[in-house]
Amino acid sequence: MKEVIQLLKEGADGKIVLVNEGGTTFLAPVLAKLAGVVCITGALGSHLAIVTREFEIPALMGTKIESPEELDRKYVMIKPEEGSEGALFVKERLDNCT
Amino acid sequence: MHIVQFLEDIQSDDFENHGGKAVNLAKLARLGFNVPRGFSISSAVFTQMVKKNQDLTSYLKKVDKSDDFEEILGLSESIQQIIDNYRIPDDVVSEITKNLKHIEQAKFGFAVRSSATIEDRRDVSFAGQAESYLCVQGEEDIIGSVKKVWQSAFSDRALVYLKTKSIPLVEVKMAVLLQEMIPAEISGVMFTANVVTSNTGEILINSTWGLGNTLVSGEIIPDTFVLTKRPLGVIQQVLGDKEFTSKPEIYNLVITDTPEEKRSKFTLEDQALFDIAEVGLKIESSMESPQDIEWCIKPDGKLVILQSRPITTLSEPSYREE
Repeated sequence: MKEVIQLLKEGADGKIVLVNEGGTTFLAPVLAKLAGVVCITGALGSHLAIVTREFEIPALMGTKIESPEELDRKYVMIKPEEGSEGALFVKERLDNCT
Repeated sequence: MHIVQFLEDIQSDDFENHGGKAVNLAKLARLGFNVPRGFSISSAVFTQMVKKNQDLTSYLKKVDKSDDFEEILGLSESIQQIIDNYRIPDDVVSEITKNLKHIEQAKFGFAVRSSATIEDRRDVSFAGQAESYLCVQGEEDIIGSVKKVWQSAFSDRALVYLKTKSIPLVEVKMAVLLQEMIPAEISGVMFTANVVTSNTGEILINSTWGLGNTLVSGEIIPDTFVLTKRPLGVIQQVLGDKEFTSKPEIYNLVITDTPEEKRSKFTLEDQALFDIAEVGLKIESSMESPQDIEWCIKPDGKLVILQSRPITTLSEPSYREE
């Protein structure tokens, strides 16, 4: 919870956060400001997915990521794909995504 | 009005006393759906605690006025402490004890669940913000868990959720639902509309082995199925790794690594999916809107409904690019 408050203070606006553990409903306070949430576990029926939909925040659930640490401070974009799938795009530099 | 009521006796408009979860389950039980036996402790008991306690009332007012999240975290701690010290009136305790005795052979104890009056509304789910406690045995622990559910209504994350949704804390009234634990073989969530695409002609099902707490908390990746409603058919299935399995034992909940042969196997075959979907369609029709349903399958193969709430988020398909 403290980390979430810290994020609120430094400004969560437009950020996409990567969540690496269960019990992720603690994200609720910052959700309204975030650009998106990527959760390495969970699925459409998880509470985090339900709450992000309520806040109209794009979220990827059950996203397999080889080395999550390397994504820190990178520019990423969430894009919906066929059906209920989605994909995470990662870039080193900023051009058309944040 | 009784402060403690068996599920089947709760009226379908009594959201104020028993909250969305209990009222919806009561309706399903009366309609003949298979719902675990149980009873609800009215939110009037919770409200009585708040009203009786001036310190608590003043802390809640402070939270309503504050926009400083760090201050709110501090206030949450004080609120938790006051509820922890609260002594539930003797007449309420004796009602609870009396009702517990009516539910015999609850071998795996009870699930002590939140049923807030603001929960499961059409616009606010409050999903996963308040706590539930599983496999609780014995009167003392059950009473303790009732207080923990009350505390969770004002946990730090719940307070901040309520603030961001602009819901005044005085509107929060927490009923507590006590139901026998079901030693589920398979558990899951079903949306009777595709919540991603807002297609009301499709059903989404997530499922995993054992109890569903690992699924709703997001700890594991469950199996995912997309079905069409008419005719019933499976159009997509994705195997989840179902890393952990949660199982009730006599005195507590045990979480173990799922054996490899079960991780690599789908939890549900087509016929089981269709049976679940049929029940989902009947519930959708009874509740008159697309539903988000938590269910489980007992060792004897019977489907049990644990929760049903309206889907809060159906809209025109859209996405935004950042």
